[in-house]
Amino acid sequence: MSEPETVELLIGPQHPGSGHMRLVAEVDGDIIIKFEPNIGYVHRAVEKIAETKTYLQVIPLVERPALADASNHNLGYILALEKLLDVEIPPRAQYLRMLLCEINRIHSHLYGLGIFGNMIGSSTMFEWAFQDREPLLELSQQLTGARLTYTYIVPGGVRRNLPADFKNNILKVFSYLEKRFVDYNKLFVNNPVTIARLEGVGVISKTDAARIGIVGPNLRGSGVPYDVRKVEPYCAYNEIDFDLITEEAGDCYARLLVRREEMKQSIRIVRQILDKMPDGPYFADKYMKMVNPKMKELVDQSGVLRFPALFTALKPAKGTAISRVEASRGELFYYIVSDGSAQPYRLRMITPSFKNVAGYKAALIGQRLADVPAVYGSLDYFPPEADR
Amino acid sequence: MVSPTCLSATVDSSKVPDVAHKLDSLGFDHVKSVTAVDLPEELKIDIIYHISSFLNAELAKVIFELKTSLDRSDPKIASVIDIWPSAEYPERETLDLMGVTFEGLPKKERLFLMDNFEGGPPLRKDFKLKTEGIDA
Repeated sequence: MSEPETVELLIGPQHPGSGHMRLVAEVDGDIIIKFEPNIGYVHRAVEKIAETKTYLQVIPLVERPALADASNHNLGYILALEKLLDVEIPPRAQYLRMLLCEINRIHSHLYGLGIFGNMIGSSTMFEWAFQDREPLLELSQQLTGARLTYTYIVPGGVRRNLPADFKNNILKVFSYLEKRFVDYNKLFVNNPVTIARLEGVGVISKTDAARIGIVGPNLRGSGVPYDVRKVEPYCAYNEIDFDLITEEAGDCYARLLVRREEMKQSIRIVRQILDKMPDGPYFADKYMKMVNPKMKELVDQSGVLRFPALFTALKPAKGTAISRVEASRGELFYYIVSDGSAQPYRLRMITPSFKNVAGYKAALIGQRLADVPAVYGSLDYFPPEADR
Repeated sequence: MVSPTCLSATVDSSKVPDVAHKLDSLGFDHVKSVTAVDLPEELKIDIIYHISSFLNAELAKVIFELKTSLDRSDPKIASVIDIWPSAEYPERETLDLMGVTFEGLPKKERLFLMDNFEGGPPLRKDFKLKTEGIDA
């Protein structure tokens, strides 16, 4: 043979990994020389549909692309919307928002960890992580009434107050999880097989990570100390003490370690939230005044909000607003254009997975074909979130 | 209405690459979003780049909003992916869904829509969604 022969391989859209996307790899032997993720298999036109919905109806729409991370997607949208609404959020609502978002972060990272384990052959890690998400979903249900798509964060505050026995329940779950994290280390994270599969594989350098614009634990795994909760603190993150986790190596293992440590930080954050949570209303006075007196009585008794009639056709001021939040998989960016009507004129939603899709090419060129699952799992890429 | 950490500038579309180079040299290292807004009554499509920094801690606090307008009948603009590779997927999406041509963008095939998708760019205002179900 005078010239090296290359083969184009199509991986997916149905493959043993997670979610629907196609990966196109050109290989020379088993070395990847070209790589192109082909996305869009679960595109649902969220940005277009948003233009036909009222502002409140958009909440369930933006939540659904990232099932395991619904509340962060809910929050980012509401933060942008509230910039156009001129409403003051009570401190207790800020804490309740952070509470749900951090619970979400833990179970989203567990989801990622489970899938990652499964992809590189540890089906026990998959079972464990998914089993241990369960108590967190139960807690979410106690707080919001739903296990996954909560629509908990609404303009002006949140939908429900903290249940009476919630604090004890969550502390119990945390002491269980902390024991489990030790088990995860023994079974998976410190396992020589895991380390051999991940260390030095799929390296993305610090400069590359920033230039291609990957976000979240993937960016921090390449040594870039960027977390929206620190850079531009929203809700009450400036009142909470937590560490920004980074790893310098930029490989698959570094990304795994960042997520593992972030779960511990989220537990630390929630403990502070529970200690510091101020008393007072969980919904803005401006809107609560509009709830009719009979309903208001019911709201006060049950701790469950009833919306004022105004919410059926909420009209924010004309103008544009942006927001950024640190969702579980990374920075989530919203841009709303309002023409003063009851529907958004344009809603732009840039999800972390849509940014992280650029990570494949950077991590995989020059790697072996057998490392594709390791890189896929390490990026915690979630196709519906990317495709929207 | 913009947040205090958001800077905004509107430029002619031909000036976008120059401004992008300048911002890049100042340390704005990535694009958070490339957004197209269809304005059929004004016969234009606005393009908005949201630009910031990951590596420079001070600039990371700032989001720079760079705006420009294109002729709606033939929306064309130079791609900024040579300056900011992070613009690749948002630009490809904008080409796919809003029909804006980014000159210099190497990949021109569809990103989200099916290859055999018929009809104009779906994010344009004249593309109406069909109602399905009981009210249809």
